[in-house]
Amino acid sequence: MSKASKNEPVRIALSGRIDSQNAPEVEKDLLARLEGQGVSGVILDAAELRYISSAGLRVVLRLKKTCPEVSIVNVSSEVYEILEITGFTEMMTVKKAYREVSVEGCEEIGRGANGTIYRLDKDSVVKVFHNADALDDIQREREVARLALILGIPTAISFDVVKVGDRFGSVYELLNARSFSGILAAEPEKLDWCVREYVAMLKKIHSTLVPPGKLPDMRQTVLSWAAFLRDYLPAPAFEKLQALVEAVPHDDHMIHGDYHTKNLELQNDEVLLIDMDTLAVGHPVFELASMYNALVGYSEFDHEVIRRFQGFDFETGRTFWERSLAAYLDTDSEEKIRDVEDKARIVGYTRMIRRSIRRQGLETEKGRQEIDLWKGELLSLLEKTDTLLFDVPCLET
Amino acid sequence: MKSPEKIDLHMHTTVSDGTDTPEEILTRVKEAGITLFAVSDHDAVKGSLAILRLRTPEDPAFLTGAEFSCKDEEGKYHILGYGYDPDAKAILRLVQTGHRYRIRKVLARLDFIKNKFGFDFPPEELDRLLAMDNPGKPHIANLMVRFGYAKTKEQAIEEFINKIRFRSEYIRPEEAVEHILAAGGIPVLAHPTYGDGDQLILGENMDRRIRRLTGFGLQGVEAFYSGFTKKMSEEILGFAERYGLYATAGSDYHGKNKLVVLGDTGLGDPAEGPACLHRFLDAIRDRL
Repeated sequence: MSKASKNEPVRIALSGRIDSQNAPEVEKDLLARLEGQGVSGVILDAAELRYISSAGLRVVLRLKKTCPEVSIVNVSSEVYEILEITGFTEMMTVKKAYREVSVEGCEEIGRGANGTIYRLDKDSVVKVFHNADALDDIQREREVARLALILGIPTAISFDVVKVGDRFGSVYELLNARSFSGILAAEPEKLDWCVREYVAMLKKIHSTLVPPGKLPDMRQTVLSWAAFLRDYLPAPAFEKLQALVEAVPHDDHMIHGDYHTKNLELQNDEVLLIDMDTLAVGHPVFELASMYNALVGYSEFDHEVIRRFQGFDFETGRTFWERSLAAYLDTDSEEKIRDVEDKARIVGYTRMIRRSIRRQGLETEKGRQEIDLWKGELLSLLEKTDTLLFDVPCLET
Repeated sequence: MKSPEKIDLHMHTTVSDGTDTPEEILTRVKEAGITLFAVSDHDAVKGSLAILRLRTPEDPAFLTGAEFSCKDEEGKYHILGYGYDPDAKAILRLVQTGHRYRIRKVLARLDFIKNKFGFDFPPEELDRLLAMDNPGKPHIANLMVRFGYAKTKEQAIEEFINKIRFRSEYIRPEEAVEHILAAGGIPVLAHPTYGDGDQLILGENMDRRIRRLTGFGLQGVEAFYSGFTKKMSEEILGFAERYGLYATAGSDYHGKNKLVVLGDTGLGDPAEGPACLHRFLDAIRDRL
């Protein structure tokens, strides 16, 4: 046991078996270690605990009565189950031990803002979170994915949380699945089929009403992006940008938030949506903005970006975007398509400029050129645009 | 009796395996602010009899009690008897049966450690042991330590006494229930979730147990217990409601032997307690 200074929780390792034979000894030992330390809490580390009988549970319960801040960590699944059915998980923090997996030699099948996805074996993939302290994010993504599934969106739900080195990972079942990016890269002749499925899923998402308060409001997020540009745009342009976003009404329909071809998987004959941590509610213009960025925007200055990210070339991305937008809007009208594309680009450029500046884009020559390009486009779009709204066919039906 | 403010109906004295004498426990009950209590020694009424002699009208309300170790084909149980007539033949017969079984067990163990390990004790020590109200493994272990056969009580039990496994005789649960009822008492299943101590019985299994014992005439369950989580108490209260049983509250205090705090039952203010507890308090009103 490591002795802790006052007000720091004391960590005590439990090991082997705790049953009626040794429970009194374990208890005396625990109390002796805590005596006179004036500790604010106790963390019981159950990594080496193989078995705990009800006599052992009572030791923990009595410890909880003398020291209200007790938590148990590294609990095996078996012990966790006992603690759950007996109500211990309701009275104290109980954290499961995580299976350790290695992704060495595993195929990387996707890289998102929050994590990288690897194929573990033929049945499962793991999303390894970049953030070392990702347990809350993982829990949130699980809840969001469950909500989406309940609302009728086909998606994979993580069934296990694992430790990958010093990071956490979420494990998903994904059998023989291929991402749409992979299909487009290997079989360009399937572009039209991909567009059809991609848009069908998009319409399904956008026609899903989410109970209030369950998902973040994308409009708030976009307002914060816009606010960031205050110091980087001429005042009239900045004010117009802000007014345009503010004028978008609240909308309780679902949006995915990062809807690109790597986040759509074909599993057997079923299309699945993955990477659900960006799920939000809001007007579809916000979704189209992130789609535009992923398929076109990020690669406008350097066409190689999309090849690195999606595996197909700039022209394929551009074509895929245009056909998808036309199918989504259910129109052949070039004018209509350009009009909606321009609205999406306003939000898209806002996001990309902010992102690049925050990543020290202004400190390299290439970064500055890219930001200048996007800024020029944004300023000219702001001049000719009076609203970000448009008719969304899937929401009318 | 006015409504009790603090209840503890499960505690042990030196008559069984507690470390407080009946006098000491009466003092501690008062210090703990308990206003209704019962002494529930294992297979013995002597603790309760002692309290009846000791207490004065100013002392907290008192209910006679005992805890009987029972077993049948389905498992082991601890059955509490409350509010019995301490002079009733039925309860004395039950205590005698329990005591007889206990003595036979002690003799079997003494035989075993003598034959297997050569541990022998002077006859006067054995007489003293067998004359105790409630001799058991801890008492044999103490003797072994005193005579240098083991370093500690725990070592004596684990390395020697526990090496013998034999079929022991037990009071059957229906036998306990019937005798408690015949003595005008209320039979109550002690710490149901923990079985006879170190089990964990939940859900369907608990339901089956309680249904079975209720068939024998069981009238209550110890729903509030120092070793229970809120969830466990709630489950047992659910069974009390389903089978029309009383609910009781006890700490299972053993003095220095275990680290249970006297009066710690998880019940809180009895006035806020559930209806099945209030039905119990009504039922014992004329047995105090």
